Amino acid sequence: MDIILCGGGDIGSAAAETLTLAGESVTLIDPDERRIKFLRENLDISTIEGSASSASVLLSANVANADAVIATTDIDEVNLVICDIAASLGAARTMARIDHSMFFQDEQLDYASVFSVDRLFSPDRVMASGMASWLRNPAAIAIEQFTGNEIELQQLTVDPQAQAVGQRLRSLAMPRGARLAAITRNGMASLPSAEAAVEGGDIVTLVAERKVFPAMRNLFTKGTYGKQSIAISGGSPSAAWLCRFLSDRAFDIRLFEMDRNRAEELGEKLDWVTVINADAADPDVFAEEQLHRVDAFVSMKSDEQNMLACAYARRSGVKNVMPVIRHAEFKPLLKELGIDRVWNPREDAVQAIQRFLHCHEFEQIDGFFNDTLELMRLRVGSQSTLLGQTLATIGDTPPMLVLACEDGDGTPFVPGGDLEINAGRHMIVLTTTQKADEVRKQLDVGGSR
Amino acid sequence: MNFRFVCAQWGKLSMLLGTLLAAVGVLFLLIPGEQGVMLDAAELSLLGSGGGAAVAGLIAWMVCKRATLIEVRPISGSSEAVTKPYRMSRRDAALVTTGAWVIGAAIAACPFLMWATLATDVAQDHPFHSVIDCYFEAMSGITTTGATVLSDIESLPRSLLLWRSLIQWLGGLGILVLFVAILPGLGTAAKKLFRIESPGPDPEGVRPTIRQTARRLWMLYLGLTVAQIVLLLSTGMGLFDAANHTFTTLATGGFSTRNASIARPESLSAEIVLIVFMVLAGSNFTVLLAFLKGRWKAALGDTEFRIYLLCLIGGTVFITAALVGHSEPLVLTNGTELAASGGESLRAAAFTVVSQQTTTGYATFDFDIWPFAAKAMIIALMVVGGSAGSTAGGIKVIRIWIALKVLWGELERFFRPDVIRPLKVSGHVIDHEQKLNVMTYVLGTFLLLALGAVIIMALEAETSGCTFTTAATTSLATICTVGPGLDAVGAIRNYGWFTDATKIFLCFLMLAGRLEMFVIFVLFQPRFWRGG
Repeated sequence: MDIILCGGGDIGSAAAETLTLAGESVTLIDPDERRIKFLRENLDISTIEGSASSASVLLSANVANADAVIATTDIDEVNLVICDIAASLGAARTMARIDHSMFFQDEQLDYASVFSVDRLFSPDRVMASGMASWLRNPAAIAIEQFTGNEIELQQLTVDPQAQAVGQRLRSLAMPRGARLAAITRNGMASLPSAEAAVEGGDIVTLVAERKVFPAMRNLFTKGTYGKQSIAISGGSPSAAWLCRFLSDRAFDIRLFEMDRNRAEELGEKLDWVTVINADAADPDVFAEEQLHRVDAFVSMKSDEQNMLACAYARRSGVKNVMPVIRHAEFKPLLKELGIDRVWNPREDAVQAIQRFLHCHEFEQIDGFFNDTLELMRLRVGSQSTLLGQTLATIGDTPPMLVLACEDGDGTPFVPGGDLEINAGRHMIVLTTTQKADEVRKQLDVGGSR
Repeated sequence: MNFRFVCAQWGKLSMLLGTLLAAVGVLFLLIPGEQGVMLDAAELSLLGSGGGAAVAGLIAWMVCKRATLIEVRPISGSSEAVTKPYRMSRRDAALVTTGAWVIGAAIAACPFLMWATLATDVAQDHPFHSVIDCYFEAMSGITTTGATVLSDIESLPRSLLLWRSLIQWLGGLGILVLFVAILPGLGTAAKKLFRIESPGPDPEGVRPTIRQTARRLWMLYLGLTVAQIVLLLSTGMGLFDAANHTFTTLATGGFSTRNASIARPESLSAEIVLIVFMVLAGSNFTVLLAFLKGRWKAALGDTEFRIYLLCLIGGTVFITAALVGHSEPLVLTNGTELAASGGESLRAAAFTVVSQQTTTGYATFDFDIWPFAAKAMIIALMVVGGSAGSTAGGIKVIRIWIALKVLWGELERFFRPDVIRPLKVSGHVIDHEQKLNVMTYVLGTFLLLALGAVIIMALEAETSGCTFTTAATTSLATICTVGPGLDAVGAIRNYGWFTDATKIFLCFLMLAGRLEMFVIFVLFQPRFWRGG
């Protein structure tokens, strides 16, 4: 694929690196001469020095034949204009990085269609949405979000007093758009049958559309958690997104921002949040606000500040500390500080770009099951033997669960038994490790479109 | 300061008011009375005062109109001098506004004095023989206070009664708003005048020109007037009473054509019409315009409108409960006693709360003999007043709301000094400058209320044995342009017994209350007069 990346900053260069490793041909445009020189020397890409919002620059990158143009500069408006120009010059598909919430939330105007952008993506938003899922589900063991964050997969331990315990699955009233994907008992994961029942202490894997997830989760846990108090250090755009994702009565949020003007701006926009014009990592402020008692401490400033603040918070007794770390190299350091999980907007951005490009005809998703089950993201090929059949008619031959897929216009959903297998459809599929090869073969994974 | 320019504006205003005066005279001349078409003293005084004011205004304008243009001289001798309109300064605007009201009240007072002098059947001790009493009555009218010096209102000729109501109607929306709406050639000066006369926090952002705004407000005002007259007629009230009461309801003024104020109107439906229109007159006119345009959601979502209604309903419920609990008979302003049944109490409470909070000041019941809790609630609602951008007085609901929110916010800052908690009203952020402005206004009003009470007490204590309750509620009832207070200025009393010095002072308080203080007090700031 020929891909034009506009903007050689953090995200642009990280994307360029990943894409070239995957064998794509990348052209990167950036106006900064030194940056261009650095990238040309370090990456296997072609580079153009200049402004990507200039038609002549885009034409010299052969935009008319490009498979995708991705604008990743840190100015939203520039990205929109680049995509608009690229589309009118004949680029096949366009993607723009957007940081400002206005472009997502405006009800008056669909900015994406006005500027001929096929997809808007916001690394901050993606990361914040992931963080919000963790904060909403303190009992979860693992969380994964699929297809534009609309579908969530979680693993959690079943409470012995939960409603679902002891009931057969088929008699359990699960909400529409939700599904029990797997049951892990004594370390053995299995695909559940309709006659199976969960027991207390089992680990269940749940998949559900975002809005019905809480209802689904409450079948397996004891239900409500008390009000959680959350401290956020630093008023970055991702902090604002996080506050928006947590804008209900279940959360009591304090947001610390040092810059007075930014703090006032945030205070105006986020009126359910207590904005404080101080540094949360300052021990005096920490003590005054009694931050050692918060349920979660989120740090969204620079890597160094986040590491220090989270280490201090952890030391002070905060159970759940959530640092944002942009340099993956620092992860081991955090492990030494006792912090296992970090959030990286750069990785999220690259992942979003990859998914947009559909680089992955097939991808195995690790980290949920041991050897017995296999979770994969795949595209159905045109030679699949199952074309035209519905999930209900396929049944157990081969044994597979389709956890999520996209409909014609890209809206993700959790399918029921009436889903028909079509060539080119992207799906998240769970199957047993034994039959994984057979499933891949029957679906003609990686085959032609 | 450009005094000639200011005088020219006053001249124009004088002509406008004079013409109106004369028009009322002509109207009554053309209506055949019992004596047929005959010029009686009242009509003569209306025509005479009107003509006099118009002529005086014309002279002032002729003399000073050159100041409305300024000559721009060329630097070199080659080109000709050109003239352009004089751009009014803030100081000019402040002086024009205050002067307009002082002069307006004087013009409005002329027919009263002239009538008392000319008419043969007027008693020797009639208040209108006194210049100060006439001026007080006119000022009370034009500022929509509704305090009267008359004890026998019904003996006044109908033409003068109508004039008395009409000046309230004019003063309700503001004489300068009329000025801006009708007279051309003001340009940007119109904006300054408009803002000074109708100050207060203004949530609306983009507006058409100020002239269009003024016209829209007048159209709405006229529309409401016609609607209320028609409705009152349909409830059985006579045309003359309906018109007068409509004029004074919509201005939240409170002058009535009857000695006992409203007392018991013709029917319950008439009372309901009065209540509804008082509520409308005390609402922000931009909210009413939004209703008319069908923007229900925006109108109902307005914070001030909601709190205003909440105050009215809460006050009514509270006072109804107090009256029922008290279980003493209720006394109408005309002396009739009624048992304090639930329905009667509700009727009394609803009318009194609406009338007093919207600063109209009509009375049906003598609330002076009500239990203390009920009276305290009435006083509190008088201080709050109506909505900003209405014809009502008082501190205004929105200001009270902002002030309370600022206070509440300060409590949090005591233990969390760095917290940022923006104050929002109907989705708009109130910035520090506006907060300071509101707090200053509230503090200033309370200071003036206290100072007013003390000064009235000082002026009256020796001569008339005025109680402190009287002095305090007089101060409140004039500054908030309500009219009736408690005790010796209660619902069944009037202001006639005050000494002349007090009446002059009360004129000042009423004007300060109507123009929302600042513009009056800048005249006492020495720097206002110095330089330029």
